[in-house]
Amino acid sequence: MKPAPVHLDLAAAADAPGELRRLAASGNPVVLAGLDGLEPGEAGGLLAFFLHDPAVTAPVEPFATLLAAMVHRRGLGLWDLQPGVAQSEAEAGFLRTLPVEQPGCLACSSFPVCQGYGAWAGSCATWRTLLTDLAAAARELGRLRPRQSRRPIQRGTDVPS
Amino acid sequence: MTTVILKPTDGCNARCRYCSAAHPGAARRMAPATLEAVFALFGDFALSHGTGALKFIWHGGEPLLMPPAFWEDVVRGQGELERRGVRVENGIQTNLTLLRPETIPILKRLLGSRGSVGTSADPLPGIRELTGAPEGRYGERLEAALRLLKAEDIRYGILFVVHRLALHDLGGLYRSFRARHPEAGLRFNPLYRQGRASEDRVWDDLGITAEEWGQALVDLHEAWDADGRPANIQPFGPWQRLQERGEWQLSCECSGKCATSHFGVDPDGGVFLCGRSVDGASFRFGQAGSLGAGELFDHPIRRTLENRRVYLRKTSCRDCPWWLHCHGGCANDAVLGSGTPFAPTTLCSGLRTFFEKAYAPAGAL
Repeated sequence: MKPAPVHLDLAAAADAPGELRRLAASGNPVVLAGLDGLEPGEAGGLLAFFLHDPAVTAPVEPFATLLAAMVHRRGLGLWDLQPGVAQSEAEAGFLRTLPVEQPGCLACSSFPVCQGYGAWAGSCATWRTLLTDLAAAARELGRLRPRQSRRPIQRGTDVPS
Repeated sequence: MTTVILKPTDGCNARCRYCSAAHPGAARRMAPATLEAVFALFGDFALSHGTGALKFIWHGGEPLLMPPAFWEDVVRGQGELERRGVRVENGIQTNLTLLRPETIPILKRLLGSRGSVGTSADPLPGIRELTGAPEGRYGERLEAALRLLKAEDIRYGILFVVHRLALHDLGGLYRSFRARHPEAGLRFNPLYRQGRASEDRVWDDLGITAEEWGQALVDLHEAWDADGRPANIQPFGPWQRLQERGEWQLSCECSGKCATSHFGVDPDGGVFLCGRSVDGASFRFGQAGSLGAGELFDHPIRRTLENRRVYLRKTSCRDCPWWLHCHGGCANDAVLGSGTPFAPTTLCSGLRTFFEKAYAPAGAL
């Protein structure tokens, strides 16, 4: 039976890195809530723990899902990971105005995953840090994985090489 | 492979009514030092950020206006690229009216065994004509040049720009081209409201709507179908292979990845997204000679255009079942129609009509 995920509310945690270390040691998946409220350096520290600490034996979300999507080049955006957000309305409304209101977003290297969510949530710098580090890790993992032969694309997917 | 559409001159000996190229007045010609800077930039790019291969498409203006000395510089410069380890191919897009037997050796040297010639044709009088020459001379010279290419075993393809005056018999036009040039590739493009075609009097005569383009595709597809669906007819061949076999080798305006595959260069060495960007003065990266390969690779314009695909899929194209067939279309078209690349092209509704008729299970042609 898969171990149940445990949630870590970052806004309420007095020592988020320590809490994460303690929860990760239990072997249960950890779901981080409240990344939007962290400074880039704090969030980057949690990600570095997930990416590099041998004590991590189970997924830390949303990092694990984002990393897997990047490695496998699956289209996944931050809006897709926000169950608490009235997603479609907020997303559609915000994205419609993005070219005029936030033109910088559309030239950002993190946009393919961020998709404007960081600007909407006021956590742009935090997510840029996280997504830049995750992309670097995904590239590294991609180099380590055996090369797959090119297959014809399947309908409904969109993974241009 | 990175494709560089290189315009060594914006001068032209023709006066096509709908020409989409910019006409800045005095024609510019690429200087030897500029050519050298262009080769250096793209050689660096191919080796550090690309696949090590470059395809140059010589375009214009009319590239055959360039003197033999220019082409000697091209061959010499490309030899240097090959010595650096870059694989080089060439193609040329020309109106062919300046092709003479004495031009053939340099053309063959440029094209090698893999290159080909692209040209444009329009049998309707008054559409494509030569400056200062009687009506019909363009067509005569073009036909003579095509005979010469055939005799010399040089591969060629023909582009036809679909405009209003051609709409009534596109099937007949298709059959006529195929009968006279059965071995040639054939491509049909819609007329774009750019360059001379942006002038109201030209657009009023020749311009087509999205719906007319959709119906034109339906008509042409019927002719293509009756012809046995040859693979080298665009845009149908690549769409059919995508539909049947999932092969993703769409032309630049439909691939959704033009920002990673194409560049355009003007006679002064200005570097743009593609040839249409040169003509429309849009998406300019900078200047060969001062622009570095790394700067070009990580340029905000490239990121913006790659992000365009993601943005459209989340917004205007969110529920479109034909996304894989067009990816929102050409960013230049979007800018022409809406003033922003972050919109589908103005041809969108026509394309959807065509896709529904050609490829939807119940309505396949």
